[in-house]
Amino acid sequence: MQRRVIRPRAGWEKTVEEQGLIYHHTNAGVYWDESAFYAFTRREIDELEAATNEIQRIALEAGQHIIDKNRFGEFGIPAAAADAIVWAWNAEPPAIYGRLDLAYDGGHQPKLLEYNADTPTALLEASVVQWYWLKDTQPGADQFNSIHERLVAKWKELKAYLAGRLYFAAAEDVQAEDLMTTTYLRDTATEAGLETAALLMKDIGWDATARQFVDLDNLPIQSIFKLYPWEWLVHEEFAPNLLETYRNVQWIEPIWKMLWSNKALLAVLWELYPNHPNLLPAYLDGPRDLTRYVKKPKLAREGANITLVADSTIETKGDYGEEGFVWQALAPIPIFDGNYPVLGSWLVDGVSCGMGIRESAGPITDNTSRFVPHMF
Amino acid sequence: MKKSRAVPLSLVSTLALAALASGCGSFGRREGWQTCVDRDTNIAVDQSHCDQDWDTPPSGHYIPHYSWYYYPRGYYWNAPGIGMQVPAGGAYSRTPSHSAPMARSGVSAVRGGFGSRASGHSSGS
Repeated sequence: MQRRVIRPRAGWEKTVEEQGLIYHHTNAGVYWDESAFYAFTRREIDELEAATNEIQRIALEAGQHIIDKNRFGEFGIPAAAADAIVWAWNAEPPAIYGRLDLAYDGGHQPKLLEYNADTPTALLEASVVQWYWLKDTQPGADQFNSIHERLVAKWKELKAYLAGRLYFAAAEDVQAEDLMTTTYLRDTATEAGLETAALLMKDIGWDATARQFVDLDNLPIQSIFKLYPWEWLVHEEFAPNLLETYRNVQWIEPIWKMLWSNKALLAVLWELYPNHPNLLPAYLDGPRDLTRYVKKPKLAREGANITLVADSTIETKGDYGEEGFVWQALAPIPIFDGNYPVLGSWLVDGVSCGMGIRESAGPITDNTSRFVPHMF
Repeated sequence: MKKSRAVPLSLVSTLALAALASGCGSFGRREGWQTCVDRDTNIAVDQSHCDQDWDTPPSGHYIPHYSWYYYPRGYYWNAPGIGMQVPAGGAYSRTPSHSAPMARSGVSAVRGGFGSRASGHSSGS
């Protein structure tokens, strides 16, 4: 694993915009950063792929354990949602994608930092934009990336299973990242032959007479992909209606993803698989014997409310932590020219299929981190 | 397989154009809708009125006070809410259509029950 500096393509902003990446800059500066790339060996890619599939395997075991032992309270999951989670876990409604965040340096086994199982983003850049970057700059090289084909294949498989039109819903975000991610996913479904429509979360209607969710034309919603976290959905005004009708609607991702998108999963995994080569020690009740660790909210986004304890202590601000925290051993994130890369390893239909890299100036990945392409 | 493929250029170009034109705007083709109406006024009413009329045994000259009112695909944007007058040009029926996908419209859907927590920030992770 190497970090190599390269001259960005002339007019790269326009190029990536044409590919849908209109959020190539943030308020903090560049987001899509093609002034460097990461080069891997085939062995390293194989190792990452195998680790991703292995973590998926043990995450499935952990999910079953959480349900069997009724550990929802430790995840801060409201009791009202438990029945729907158990039902969905057993019924196995459609689940499309997820992203493992891994610490990896090429010399040691990849270590799981967290599982973004419900609303993973940085998808378009991983699936499409870095692929075209590779074709433009390293045409003879390869890339760990079959995300697009896997998405299309999964939608094709679901075509006979999904009822009615498939809606793609997101909230309006300033950067338009969520809207673009949802639009990209919608395009993959359209390419697979599904009838699709776009919808904002706030425009989802509740028809109290028919007791069903409806779109802006008052047509019933039977199948919907939402880029909106379950931990928010189950606390919003429509939550009782959502849980009442959950079995009548195909919600993608399904509600059981609350078990994986919660950092309490890290502690349950370590409890079930202590000393697993792809896990870091993690606990729900404090740092125990850890001296270098990260205290993470069970539910948080964009690196908020993190406390990193090592030679010195770093804290980030935010509004999360109400559900409690997880203490995880500090990961051995490598430093390349002062940059800290975290690997986002993608799964579609539960199978490893690609990677995107977020690079930060410090040890905490947040909303100022940059996306850097890769090749092997 | 590690190696990826060519993503169709038309796909990403369309995606970018759609995004730059404000993201979510395309709602696909319009579907027909049906709603229960007061036949005297052509005002949309709750569907329970049509259900009750359906339960009334018809006599020889019975004209139901309430009927289902059907609009074909592509003719009109939204089904009117309760209390709104339906536009002319639709067809009355004593029974609702069962052809899918049809909205049993005429009821007012409540909106805004989702999305309040995003506040303009990304919901992604």
